[in-house]
Amino acid sequence: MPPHILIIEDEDDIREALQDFLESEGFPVTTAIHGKHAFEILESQKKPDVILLDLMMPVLSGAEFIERQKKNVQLKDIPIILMSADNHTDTKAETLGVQGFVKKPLDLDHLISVVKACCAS
Amino acid sequence: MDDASDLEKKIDILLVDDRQENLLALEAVLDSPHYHLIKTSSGDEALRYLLNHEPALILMDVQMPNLDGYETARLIKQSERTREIPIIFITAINKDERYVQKGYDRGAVDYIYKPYDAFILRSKVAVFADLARKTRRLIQAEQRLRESEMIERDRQISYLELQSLKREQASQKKYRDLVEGINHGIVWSAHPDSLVMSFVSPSAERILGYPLECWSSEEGFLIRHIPKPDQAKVLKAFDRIKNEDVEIGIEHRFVTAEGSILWLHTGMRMGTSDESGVREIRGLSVDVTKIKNAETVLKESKRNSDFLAEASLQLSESLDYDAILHRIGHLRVPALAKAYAVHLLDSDGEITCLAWVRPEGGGENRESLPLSGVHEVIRTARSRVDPGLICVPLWVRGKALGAMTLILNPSDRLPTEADVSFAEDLARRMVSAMDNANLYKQAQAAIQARDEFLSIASHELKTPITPLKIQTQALMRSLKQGSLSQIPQERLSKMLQTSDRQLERLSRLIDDLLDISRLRDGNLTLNLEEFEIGELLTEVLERFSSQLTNAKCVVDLEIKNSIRVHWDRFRMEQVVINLLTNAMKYGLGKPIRIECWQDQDRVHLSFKDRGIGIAKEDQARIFGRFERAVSGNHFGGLGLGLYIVSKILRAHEATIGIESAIGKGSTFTLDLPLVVVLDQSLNLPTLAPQAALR
Repeated sequence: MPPHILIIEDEDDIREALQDFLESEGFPVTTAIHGKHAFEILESQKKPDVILLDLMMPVLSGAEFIERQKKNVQLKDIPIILMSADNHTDTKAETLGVQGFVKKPLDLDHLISVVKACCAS
Repeated sequence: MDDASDLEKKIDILLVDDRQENLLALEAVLDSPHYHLIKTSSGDEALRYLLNHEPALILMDVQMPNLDGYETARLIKQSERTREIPIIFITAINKDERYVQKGYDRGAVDYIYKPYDAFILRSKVAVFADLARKTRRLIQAEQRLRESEMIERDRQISYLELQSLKREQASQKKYRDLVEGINHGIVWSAHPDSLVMSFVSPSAERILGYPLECWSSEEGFLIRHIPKPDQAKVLKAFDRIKNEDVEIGIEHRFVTAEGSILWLHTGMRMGTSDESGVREIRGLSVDVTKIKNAETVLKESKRNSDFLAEASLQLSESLDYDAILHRIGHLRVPALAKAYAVHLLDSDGEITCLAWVRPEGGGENRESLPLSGVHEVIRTARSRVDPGLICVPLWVRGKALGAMTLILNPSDRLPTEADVSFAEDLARRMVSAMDNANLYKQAQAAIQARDEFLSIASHELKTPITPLKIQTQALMRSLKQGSLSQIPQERLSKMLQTSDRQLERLSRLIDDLLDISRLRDGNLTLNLEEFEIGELLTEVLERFSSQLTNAKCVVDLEIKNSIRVHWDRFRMEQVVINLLTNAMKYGLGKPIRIECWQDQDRVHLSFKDRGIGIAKEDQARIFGRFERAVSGNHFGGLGLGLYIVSKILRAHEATIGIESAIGKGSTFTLDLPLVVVLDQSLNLPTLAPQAALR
């Protein structure tokens, strides 16, 4: 059973393109338009296996989402893959203590391997 | 007595014989006008005579009672004075050799026996008389010679004395001329105890103004005209000269007849007056006022330049604006002032006192400072000078920062040109430090803004590329897997639409970036055309319909009637898009209202959202380059939108105003001329974005 992915991304076109692609690859996908929206989904729906998280978002940013997620006992173990156009995404991922990161613009093969690696561990 | 009379003088011959008849016989034989015969009847009488006289020859009988001839001769020869008088013994008895020898031993020059030959006696006496006469002549000649030598010596001495006197007179005249010729100095002498002046050179009157007679007639005249603070010093110098006999030079002030004060350098020592031999203090007082003044100016100038150097050093140690202000407020008070104040003009045009510095114990209080003067100096950028006060502007590159005020010491001091120039110099250094700190702050902010912009621009450019790349890679994967034809038509169409949208977004971003450099240089050229503003608004809304739907924004457009304007359509479309996307971005999905109305030859456009709103302190700033009210980049965009809007509106001679409150949303209202007529070649000057605000 492929892992269930939650995409948190404010840019509509990125979010939708990513959803279309991952679904076409057979991954069950849920989407949220920002961090706050994601928490609403997480509280009401089935927990995903992995979260693809954008860093820069209105309302509740990626960093703020991680901070809150770590404090939530039920959510803290869900692995997070950080997505960012920032040149220092690797450093940020390390600082924030997430399980993986991908740089924008995304390389899809790499994305799938990171998703799989995160879920396997 | 002349020589002739001297030679004619009779020859004294002393005759000694106890027998009267013998004396008479001798007298008879020797009777001559040339001889003066003195008869004595004993050795004693002869010796008595010789106590007071010096005869030329003595004729003495050997055989005499009591004191015989030999004994008398011995006594005569004992006396220094009579030793040389020749003695001729006359005897009738002692003819043998023994007696003759005894006679010669006693100093006799001859021996004559009785009875004697008168002629021989006369001849012998004549020989001795002649000898006496010659001796006398010799003595006289020697005496004359000595006298003449003495006269010559006296003459020479007189000559030398005369020469010396002449020299002394010449030297005295020279000395007098010298003393009287001194213009800048006063030669004087004074009694060491009473200090009454015994001499004052004429220059005293010229230099100090008092008539010469005052100096010697008034007791204590000298000391009385020396100001009190210097009196003790001068009196002490007088005491030292008297007691230690040293030469002393001192500087002291002196009050002139006009009441002004001169500085004198007085050198003095003890001396003795030639005429009276009285000891006196002699002095030379030279007017050194100019030197002293020059020294004072130099000292002051050095003190000032030291102060300025120290101030510069202190002010240059930091580039932090607040630290500079702190340092300005804690500078030492310059020597010429007893307090100083710095007033600054804040952004609201209010004047606040940054610093009021005074040395410890300084009694000046800040209420005594006339603030109206400070206002005037700040407004006019011109220094203001009042008795006891200098106020100089703190201006830099045509901008008033404030003013600095020096409260002078003493309070009635009239500021000199040097004082004002010092104050202006100090102000320049303060301004320079403030300006440097300001520029540094601006440069730092600009660098930070640029870095932030680069980071944002990179993010913003990558954002449309990300979906494009996802779509492209997805298609390539399908192609590789041979499943390209299985992609549903609907999904393919959606992919192409997304790609098209993102390409347009990318293209708009690039346009914005290019616009920035064009706008910064003030080279925005308008391509004016006539169009209907409603059409433009509707068209933009249609183009953004899907984005508006995604943002869950409802737009309510209200145009009362058709308004034809003469603007740059492309640029105005940029304005509308920027304001619309802003309303969408910050509108929290709440309805957006766009209104457009005409008021005679003016057209008004307003964009109202009910989103997050903008704090009052950020409202002017958001029109700057790379500025945004919201930090953290949560909302995307380059932060250039409102900057570009303000520039385009300015080129249209239009203004933009903002009404906003946090949590209540924002309303941007544009005020444009219906018809814009511009010289197409006109290069618009770059103005601060705030200037376009209403």
